[in-house]
Amino acid sequence: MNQLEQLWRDEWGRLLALLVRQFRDVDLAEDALADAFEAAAGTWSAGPDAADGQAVPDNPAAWLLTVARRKALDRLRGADTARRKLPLLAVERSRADSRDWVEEVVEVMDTDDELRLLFLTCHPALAAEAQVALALRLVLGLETAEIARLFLVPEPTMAARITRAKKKIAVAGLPFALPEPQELESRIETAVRAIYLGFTAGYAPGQGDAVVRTDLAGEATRLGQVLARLLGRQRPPMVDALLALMLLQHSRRDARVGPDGGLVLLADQDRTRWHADEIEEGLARLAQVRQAAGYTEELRLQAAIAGLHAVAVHAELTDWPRIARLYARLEQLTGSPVVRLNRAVAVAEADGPRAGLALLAGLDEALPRSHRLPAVRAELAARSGDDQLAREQYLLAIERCGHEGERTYLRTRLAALS
Amino acid sequence: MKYVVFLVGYVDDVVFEELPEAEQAAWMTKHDEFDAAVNAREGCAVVGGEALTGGDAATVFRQRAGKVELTDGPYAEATEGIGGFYVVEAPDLDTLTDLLTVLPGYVMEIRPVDPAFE
Repeated sequence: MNQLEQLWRDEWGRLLALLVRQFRDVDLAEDALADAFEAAAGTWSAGPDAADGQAVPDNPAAWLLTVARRKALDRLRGADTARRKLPLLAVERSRADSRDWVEEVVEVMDTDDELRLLFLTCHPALAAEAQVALALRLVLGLETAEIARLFLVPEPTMAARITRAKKKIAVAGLPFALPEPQELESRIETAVRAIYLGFTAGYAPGQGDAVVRTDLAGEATRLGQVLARLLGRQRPPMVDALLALMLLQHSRRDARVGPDGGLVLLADQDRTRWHADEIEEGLARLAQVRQAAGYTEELRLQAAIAGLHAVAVHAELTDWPRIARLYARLEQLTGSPVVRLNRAVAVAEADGPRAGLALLAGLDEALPRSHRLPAVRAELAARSGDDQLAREQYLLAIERCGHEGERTYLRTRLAALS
Repeated sequence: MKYVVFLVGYVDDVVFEELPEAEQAAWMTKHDEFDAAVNAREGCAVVGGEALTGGDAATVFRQRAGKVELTDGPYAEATEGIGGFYVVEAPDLDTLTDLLTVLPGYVMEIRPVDPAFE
C-alpha cells in the first residue's frame, strides 16, 4: 500500500470528523476530503528531488485538511446556499472551539470528534444495517461500491441506503455530539451491536457463494478497534468482549475455506493457518473482561468459547466439556435455539452423539427453516449408527441450504454414508 | 428545529382508562412536568399541542370531482390510536428524546417539521 492509501486508511475518519465539525454538512465534508486526496494523488510525488509536482509534505494530514477546507469553502461560495435543501447538523461545542482552530486544530488529536462521528453513524434512530454501512463509509472511508461488494448487494441499493441515512441525520436533527453520560452506555451498546452485525454478515454470510467474506469481517474488526481506541480507558468491558470475539473468530479465516472454495469444518481446519498474533490479542482482551451480565456477558461467553477452540493446538485437544458448560450458560442467558443447537454439538463431543441428539428434541418448531439443525442432527445420527435418520436429515439440510459451499459439503457427507 | 410528536399508543398496551385513578392523575401531572422541562431547556419550547378525542369521533374528508365525501371513523387502524400531539422546538433529536423521557408511557412517533414550508 502506498503512502496515500495508508493515509486514507488511517486518517480518513479523523479528518472527516474535523470537517463535519466545521461545515456541519456530511456530504460537503466527504466531497471536500475526497477532492483533497485526489489533489494529493495528482501533485505529491515519490521523492524529495522529483522534477515535477511537490514532494510529500512533512505533515501530510495537515496538508490534506487545509486543502479540503479550501475545497469546501469553494463549493459553498459556488452554490446558492440560500436554496440549501437540508438543515445543517447540530454541532456540539468542543474544547477546540475556544482556540483559533484554523491554525491549531490540525495539531489537535481530537479523538472526541472522531468519536462524535462514530456515534453519529451508530445512532439508534437509524436502522441497524444503515448504521454499519454508514460507519464503514464515514469512519473508515470505504467507498459505496466497496461497501456494496462487501455486503453482496448492488451498488445502487447500498448508495440509496447510505443516502437515506445521511438524509435522516440532517432532516431529523441527529446531532454531532457525544452522548449524555446517562445515555453513553446505551449508545456504546448500539455501536457494538452495529459493528457485530457487520462482522457476522462477513463471518457467516447467509446467502450467495462466498463461504466467508473475510474483507467485511476484517473491516468490522477495524471499526471495533477504532471504537476501543477512541473510548480509551473509559471503554466498558463490552467493547473488549466484542474485540476478543471478533479477533478470535476472524483469526481462523485462512483455514475456513478449502482449495476448492468449499467450507472446512473446525475439526478439519489446518490450525497452522490460524493467525496466532490475533489469537494472542483476542485472548488478552478476553482476559480483561470479568463475568458480567446482559449483552456484555453474551459476547464474553461467545468469546470464551472461541478462545477455548483457539488454544486447542489439535482438534482432539479441544476442551469440549468446558465449551458445553459455557454454551449452557449462554443458552440460559439468551434462550436462543441457535445456541441450543451449538450446545448440542459440544455436548455430543463431550458425552457422545445420543446426548447431543437428545438436546435437539423440540428445536424444529423454533428453527423451521434452518438447514443447520437437520445438518447437525444428520451428523449425530450417523455417529450413533442411525443411517436412515442421517440420510433423511442430510436431504432436508441440502434442500434448505442457501449456500453453495455448504451444500457441497453436505452432499459429500450424504455420499459418505454406507 | 421543529418536531411534531404524535402520541400513537401506549407502551406495553396499557389501557389508560383501566388504570387506577391515582395513576391516571400521576400520568396527567407528567404532561405538566414535560411543559416545565421543555421550557427550562435552552433552545426548546412547546409551540403547540392538543389532546385529541377518540377515533369514534373522527371523520374522514375527501373531495373528488367537486364533491365532498365524508366517512365516519378514523382513516386507518394506525391513525386510530393517535391520542394527542405536541409541537416542540428543540436544537436536535437527542435533546428532544431526552425531554420526552419526562412524559408518561406513550408510544410516540417523532416527525421533523419540513423547514421549507415554515
